[in-house]
Amino acid sequence: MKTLGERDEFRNTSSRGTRILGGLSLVGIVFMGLIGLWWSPEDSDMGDLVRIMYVHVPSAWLAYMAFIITAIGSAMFLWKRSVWWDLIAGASAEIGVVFCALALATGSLWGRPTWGTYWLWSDVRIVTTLVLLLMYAGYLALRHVDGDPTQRSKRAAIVGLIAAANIPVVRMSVVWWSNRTLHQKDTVTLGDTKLDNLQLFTLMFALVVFMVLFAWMLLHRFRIAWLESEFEQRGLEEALIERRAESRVEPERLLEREATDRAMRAAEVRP
Amino acid sequence: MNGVGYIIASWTLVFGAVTVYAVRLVQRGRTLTRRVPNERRRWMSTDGDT
Repeated sequence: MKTLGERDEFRNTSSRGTRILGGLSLVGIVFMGLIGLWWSPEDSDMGDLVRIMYVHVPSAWLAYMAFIITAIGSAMFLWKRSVWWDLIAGASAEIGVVFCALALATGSLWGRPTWGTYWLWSDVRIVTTLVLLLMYAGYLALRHVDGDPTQRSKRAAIVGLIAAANIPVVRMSVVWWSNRTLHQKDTVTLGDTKLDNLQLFTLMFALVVFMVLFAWMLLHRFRIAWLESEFEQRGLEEALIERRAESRVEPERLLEREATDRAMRAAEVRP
Repeated sequence: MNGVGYIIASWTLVFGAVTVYAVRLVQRGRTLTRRVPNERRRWMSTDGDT
């Protein structure tokens, strides 16, 4: 009898762990919607627009976290030369790019009613975040370049590490260039917050929900990357076997051709 | 509620994108698992399920 994993309808990248994480994410998102959109109070300055913060800030934090994991994975790959670390780095970068783009988009939607503009090229936080997004988009493009897989992973790991240098720049931009940004300094710092208790709880809860969601996505994305690398490896193995078989067949064909030529020449000579 | 359009647009954008990405992940996983033999799909074993 076939096990659950062997049955066609269950052939996917999920497992007990991912099913639990997926379930928790769904429940968390529903609860987050309730407290974020209804129960939490409006802000004294921004009014209800503060509710955009519950999706914007966790998206940005998650992007930073994903890119830090990519940097760790890249460094570990260069040190240990393990495919596992390379795949983790690539999987995390893809999720990071998704959340970084979402942070920029929601920030833009928040900026229009608050600052009167969707985008401001002179704002250092916005521009450094865009640069971060483009760097990791380039990193992902590099991972898809044809060629030797080891060389490709090595190049990607170097880019993954270089791009990570931009993370503290984005984070600290509002402090280093405070006169060149409309962003406020950190809303939540250790032991000090500008938020109401329920607002702070909602933000922290949203962050936890996004982290659980990230774990679910990372596991699935890693398994997909693993399968892709297995498939690529299998393809290479099959191509090698085929090539070896061809090289064994080649001398036999040459002998056959030689014998035919000899027979034809003999027939021509005969009167 | 002020700026309701921007709030709904932000939340819809985030969870819409997350849903599309999640569905794409599951679909890609399904397609690839069919192409790789069982012994190479380590997490599918019932004893070491994580």
